[in-house]
Amino acid sequence: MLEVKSLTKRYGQFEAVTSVDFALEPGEIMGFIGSNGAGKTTTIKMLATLLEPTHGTALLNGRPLDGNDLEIRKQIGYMPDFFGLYEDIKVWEYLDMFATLYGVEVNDRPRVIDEVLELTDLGFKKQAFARSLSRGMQQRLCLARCLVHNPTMLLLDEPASGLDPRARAELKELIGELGRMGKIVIVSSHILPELADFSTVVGIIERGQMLAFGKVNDVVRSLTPAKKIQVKLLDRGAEASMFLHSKEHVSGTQFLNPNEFRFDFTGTLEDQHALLKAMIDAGFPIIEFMDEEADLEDLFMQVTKGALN
Amino acid sequence: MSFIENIVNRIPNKPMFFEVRQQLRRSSLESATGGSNKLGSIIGVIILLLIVGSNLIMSARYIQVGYLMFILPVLATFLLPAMVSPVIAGEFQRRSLEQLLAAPLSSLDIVKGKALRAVVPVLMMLAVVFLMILLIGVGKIFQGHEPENGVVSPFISLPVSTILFFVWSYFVTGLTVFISSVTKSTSAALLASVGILVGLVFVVPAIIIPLSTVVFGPTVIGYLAAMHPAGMVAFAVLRDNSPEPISLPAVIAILVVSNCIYLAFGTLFLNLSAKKLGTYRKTGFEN
Ligand SMILES: Nc1ncnc2c1ncn2[C@@H]1O[C@H](COP(=O)(O)OP(=O)(O)OP(=O)(O)O)[C@@H](O)[C@H]1O
Ligand SMILES: [Mg+2]
Repeated sequence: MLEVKSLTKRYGQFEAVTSVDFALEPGEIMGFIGSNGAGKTTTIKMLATLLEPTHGTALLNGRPLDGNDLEIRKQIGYMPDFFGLYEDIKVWEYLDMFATLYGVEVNDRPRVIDEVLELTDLGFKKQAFARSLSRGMQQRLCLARCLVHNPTMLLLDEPASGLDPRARAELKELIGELGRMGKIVIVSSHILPELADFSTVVGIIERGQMLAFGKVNDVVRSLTPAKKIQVKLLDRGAEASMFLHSKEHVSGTQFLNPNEFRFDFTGTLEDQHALLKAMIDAGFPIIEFMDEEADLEDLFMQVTKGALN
Repeated sequence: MSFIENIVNRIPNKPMFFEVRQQLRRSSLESATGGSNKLGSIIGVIILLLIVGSNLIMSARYIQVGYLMFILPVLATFLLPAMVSPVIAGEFQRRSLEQLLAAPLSSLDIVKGKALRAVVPVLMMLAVVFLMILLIGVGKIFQGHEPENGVVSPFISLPVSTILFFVWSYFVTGLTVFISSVTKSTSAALLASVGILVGLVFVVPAIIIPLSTVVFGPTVIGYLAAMHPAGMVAFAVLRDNSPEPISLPAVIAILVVSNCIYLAFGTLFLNLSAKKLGTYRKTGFEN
């Protein structure tokens, strides 16, 4: 389990990350979202023990993620946002070097290397020089490198950048698989929809502050001031709209056609149920009454804009 | 499994050996078969040096074999910075340092491991020179040359110069790694380390020795020069040629002190480099 408590990083006077709190259970995949300069990399580096927090702590299974503790690093797989590969090293040699570094037994190394290459779809490049790989393949090699020591926690800083759509889909698949293997995974990105598919939780960070953290749907709800409900009737559309507006928590009707419209609703789920019941009791011929999926992209834009104001 | 892999797998799994394995794989295979490795060209230079120097070596008397050994620290002074100066600065340039800092390695392990990788090929090359000198020495003995009076026996000068060579190499490596860890650019690191070492080896004695001669008289020259590897040659020559020879205990004392100083500074520089890497955990890498 990862517990992050009031994690703060200051560079001189500038506070890049301000008192971030969250906790992740094994198997949870956290989508870590924020715009450029929000503090994602800084937070991830603190968890990778690469940066010393100014305040606060992070515990992995009760053990502090401390820069002086070499053993704890064996439980972490960290994929940086930018990285370079050595000039004269082959793909398998690169993995072998890190497997050795992380204490994988000499007899296990060939098997482990084949496994991670298989997992990242790089088996056919085993004998190639790492530098000769394409950008996306280097990205995958870096991910393979993070896996050789079977870490408990994976920190992936924008792993999807530079990947083609197919590789992206495969990466999502792979990250999901890592979650099912019981690992704690943190994946950062600028793009919320990209993460929503496989993340079990999301954290939204802006200007160093964690604006929201929780299950994808909960976060979306907590961030959406008013949700939109779409109603479709057989008949009496205009009348239904007027009826609704006499009720609490309802505003802003927008007609799609005479018998179909959407309105903004700020009440709780109970209020929503009461509202639907009242409409049915009043005899309106309702055939659809549904929450509109919040557009994650819109939401992200809305949230980040809010932070900048 | 191939022969090389067998050897590589036998290297004990100590953190500081993390790059030596790779060095062994590359330098053994590619450079032997003419691969595009810096090593090849450096070996070429060594062979050239040996050919040029062979006249001198072959005409050397038995007793001068010990002095020939002082070629080694001088060679090391040029070869080591060339190989060692890119190690940490290069990690910065190619952005590969973070993956090492995140691995279960201490900063000192990283510094030592990177330096070791660069030092191993230089040592391998210089071992060839060492063997040649030894062979010449043995050859001269069989030719019936006898040590002359008042001259340091090769049984002393050979081990002494060998120790001095390793200590000096350690110092040069420490200094170069330190420069490499503060410059962040490989070309700046190379320029700075060669500049500083050339200054240390040639410019400093060129000033200090004449100055001390004026102030203290000629015998002190030897003591001062002995603090310095290139000066060792001057020292040995002086000892042989000075009217009142310096006693053997004095020679040993000077050697012990100067070697300790180099060892201490080498270690200090290695630790300073590690400390420098440690500071990135506070400031981040961007500045
Ligand atoms: N070493 C540093 N020294 C000073 N300021 C820094 C340093 N590293 C990052 N910052 C600042 O901290 C803030 C957060 O940066 P960070 O790299 O964590 O953002 P990010 O969310 O990863 O952004 P991006 O999406 O661009 O990768 C930025 O304003 C950045 O300028
Ligand atoms: Mg970033």
